[in-house]
Amino acid sequence: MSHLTDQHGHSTYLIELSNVNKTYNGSTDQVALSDITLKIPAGQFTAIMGASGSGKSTLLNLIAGLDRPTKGEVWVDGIRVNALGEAALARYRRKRLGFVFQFFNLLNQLSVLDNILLPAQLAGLQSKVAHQRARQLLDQLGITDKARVYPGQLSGGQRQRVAIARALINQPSVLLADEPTGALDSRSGDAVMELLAQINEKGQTIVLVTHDARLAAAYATRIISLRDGRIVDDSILQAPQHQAPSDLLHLHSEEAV
Amino acid sequence: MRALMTKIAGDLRRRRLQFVIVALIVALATGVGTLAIELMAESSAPYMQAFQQYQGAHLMVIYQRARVTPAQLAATQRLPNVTASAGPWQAAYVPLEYGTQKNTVLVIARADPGGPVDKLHIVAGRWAGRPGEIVLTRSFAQSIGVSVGSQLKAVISPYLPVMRVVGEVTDIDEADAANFNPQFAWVQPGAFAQLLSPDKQSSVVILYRFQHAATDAELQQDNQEIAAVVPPSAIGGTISYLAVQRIINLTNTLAMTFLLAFSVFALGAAALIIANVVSGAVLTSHRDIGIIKALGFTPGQVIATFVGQMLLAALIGCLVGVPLGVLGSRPLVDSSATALGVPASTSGNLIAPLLATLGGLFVVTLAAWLPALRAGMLRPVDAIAQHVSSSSRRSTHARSFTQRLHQIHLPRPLTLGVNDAFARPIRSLLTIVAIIIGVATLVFASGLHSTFQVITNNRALFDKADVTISRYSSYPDSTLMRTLNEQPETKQVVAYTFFELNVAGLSNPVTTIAMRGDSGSLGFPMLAGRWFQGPGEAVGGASFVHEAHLAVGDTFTVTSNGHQITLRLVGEYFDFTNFGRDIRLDWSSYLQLDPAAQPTSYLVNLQPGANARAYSQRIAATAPDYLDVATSASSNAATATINALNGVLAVLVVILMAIAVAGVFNTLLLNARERMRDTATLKAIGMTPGQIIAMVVASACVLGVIGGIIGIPTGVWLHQSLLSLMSSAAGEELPSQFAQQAFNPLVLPLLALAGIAVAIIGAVLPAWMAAHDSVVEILRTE
Repeated sequence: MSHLTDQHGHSTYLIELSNVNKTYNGSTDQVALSDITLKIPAGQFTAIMGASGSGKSTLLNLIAGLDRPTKGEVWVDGIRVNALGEAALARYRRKRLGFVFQFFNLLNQLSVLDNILLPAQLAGLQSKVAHQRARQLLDQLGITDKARVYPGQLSGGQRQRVAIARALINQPSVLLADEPTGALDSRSGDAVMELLAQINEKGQTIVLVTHDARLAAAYATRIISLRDGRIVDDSILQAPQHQAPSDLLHLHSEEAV
Repeated sequence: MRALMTKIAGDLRRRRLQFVIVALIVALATGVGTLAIELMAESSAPYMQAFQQYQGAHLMVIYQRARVTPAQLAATQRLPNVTASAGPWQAAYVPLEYGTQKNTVLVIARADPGGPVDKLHIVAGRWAGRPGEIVLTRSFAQSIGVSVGSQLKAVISPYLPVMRVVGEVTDIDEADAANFNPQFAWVQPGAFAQLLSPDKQSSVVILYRFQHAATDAELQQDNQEIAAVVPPSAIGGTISYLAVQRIINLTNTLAMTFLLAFSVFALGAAALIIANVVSGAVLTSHRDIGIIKALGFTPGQVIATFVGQMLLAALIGCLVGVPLGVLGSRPLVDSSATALGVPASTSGNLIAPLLATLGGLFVVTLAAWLPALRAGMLRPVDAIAQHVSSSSRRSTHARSFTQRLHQIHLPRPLTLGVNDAFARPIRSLLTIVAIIIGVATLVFASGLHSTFQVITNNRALFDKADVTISRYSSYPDSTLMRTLNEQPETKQVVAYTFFELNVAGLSNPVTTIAMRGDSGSLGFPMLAGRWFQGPGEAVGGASFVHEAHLAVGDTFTVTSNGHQITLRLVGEYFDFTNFGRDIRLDWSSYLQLDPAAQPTSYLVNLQPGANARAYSQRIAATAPDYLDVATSASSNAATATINALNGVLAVLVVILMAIAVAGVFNTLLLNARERMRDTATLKAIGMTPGQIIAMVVASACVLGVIGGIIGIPTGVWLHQSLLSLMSSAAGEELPSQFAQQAFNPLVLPLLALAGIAVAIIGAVLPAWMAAHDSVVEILRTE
């Protein structure tokens, strides 16, 4: 076991990946991730960047427990994710993670409020508490008046707000966002990123996958760049708000925290 | 064409599972269809084939020897319409004892098995040559468990001669022993005298073939010409080949009736499932449709890609199902042939297989073509633009249903599943219909099984007394009655005998049972009116009542033994045994026709707590050679016909339920595929595989519950309707209480569970697949 612990035996990092490899078996083996070691502390807004096929979504899926590493270990919030069974993984996702997708992935047969409540209901949260949290999130995200409407009646930006609210309802340790602005126009995309930044400011750990360097630089506090399944750059921003990429403080992956 | 075939092949690779399902349901449906058509085409073939081969008699007439002269008999054989005849042969009813069994046969004195009419086919041993030798029908020999070399004791003569079985034959002029009694047996004319008791007059049998004997009416005319030549009451009985044929074909006729009905249902259910498959395929292939149209496929070619896939699956289904149907029909068709001693039919008749195949392909084409039309009519630009998200189009009804479900506070996976059941209303409706057909078949089969049981129990009324006794004529009725009355356990005795009664207006004598004692207490089921209560009253079977154009309350004149009386019909009763062509009357009426008559059978009911077995043994010991005593437990009332029908029914239930399961499976597979992204999302936000399975199974259960609830009344209705059809086919009405007794109101709702069972079985695999699909793979394809 290689992950660092504090004096009480707790990990000092919320997310730890240790020598993680991921290979897809097909007619020829395809290496998606190669020897990734990565540590993300609580409260950080991390952006994972890279071109298509670089392995960024695979990395996110491994953290989410949606996929398993071929080699190595994934720890999140003190849980060894790659050792969990399917049912335990589902419980892990519903309690520790919030997931925001590129195409929102809302259930169109459910109203906005029901979509937001869904993870809380799956987690067995008391109905009153769940409704209270949902109302707060609706307020916070500026979609209170949309509670009773259905996703089909919303704009893309509004849908993504609903998805973010859904991701936050169980007060997760980590919010994972996979290209959350990919299906939005730039104005809506900026608004969603603003929202994520605000949420991060309140202490929420966020891992964002994006190919948009501008957005990453503008809102994230750390940028990890992947190429061909390897971390080629790991940068911590000194002042993330609206910084140009050239102002980033570059760190080699080996030096990353 | 090549492009079309390439597209079809590509689509089939993608939809392998559905291809297999369609092939399977078409195989099942065409299998049942082939079975029904094959039975319809072949049901009379073995009998007619054997009838021609063995020169069967159109009419067998049993004369009372004392009432007719040899010259008069010879005159009947010279009638212009008679083309051939055999006899006259002496004949007598003789009880034969083998072990503890006693069975009466009609022994005929016949020199050889050949001749111009009714050639007997020796299947084992040889023809009787010496006194003490007897030839039996194979069916009778098998039913009592004897074979060539066995010895039987004839208990009618004071000498109690032992007869050795030297041969077994098949006889075209009688049906099998389970359905036709008494069976015939043969001895050499020189050996006949030893089988007669001194006081017993024998009969004479003549077999006739006529120029015109194709219908009941023609045979009736032939019979009337014969009756005109001999004195009145000379004819003791007749057996027409059409009646024998009806008995032989009874099983096939009844089986065919419901097989035909259910093959239509099976094909209907298959059509619904195929329509579902195609509409689902069209819906999920909008983009592909747009692309191939953009590439130059015509609307017709687009339709052909969908219809072609289904036709290919259907063709494979037919290639499997049709031969199975032919094979399945063999036991029923061949059992008749075997009983008749003709080779099993290997006719190679292609009509049934061809009809079933063409019918199956036609139904599949139609079922696939209608939903495929939608694909043909799509505009390429719209098709490509509508990259369909299954759940994007939902009615406000579905949404309000979702809201209401939410208020029930069921676990979320269940409410989501229940809601999914109505995501595609038409698809769900078609699936529900398939489940309804499955459940209705089960309800129908369960009802029919109960009805058969009720019929069997009513057939067995004569055997249901605590003790049944057959008395042979050498032992007086008065002695037996004295013995019975002396026993303290004896509570009630009903005695009866069979005889033939000539009814004014009817050419053929009618089988009649005269009953002494409180016969009304036996509880024969009535179709109309009441049981007879005294002299001058009679009840009739439905067939007799219709043939004589009588109604309850009418009077009719009957003659027997040269005596004539008038009877009033006070009721119409149900009895399947003789196709309902019989009469039952009080013993006092019979005495007016035959003052010396004595009953031959006795039904004895005992005081509560009496030991029936000890009682039987005690009575039998008083005259072991002349009394055949049995307790009710020893009677086996199940018949070959009903067993065969129950077998066919069980196969039908399995097939229709399998089709319903396939329907549910297919629907859930389509739903699961369309909703893959939603399911992946649910998994990503924390739904466990168990919850996914619960969600999918819940959606199936909703369809199953609805199908089960509607399937029950549908099945009950089917039972009443098809029972009525089958009754008509068998030539016998059923009392209304039979249909009512078919279903136990407490058990009936449990049959609705079959709908849920079908749903769960059909849902297991799609649910498992949905639970284990890779979230990563699905979300990556966005």
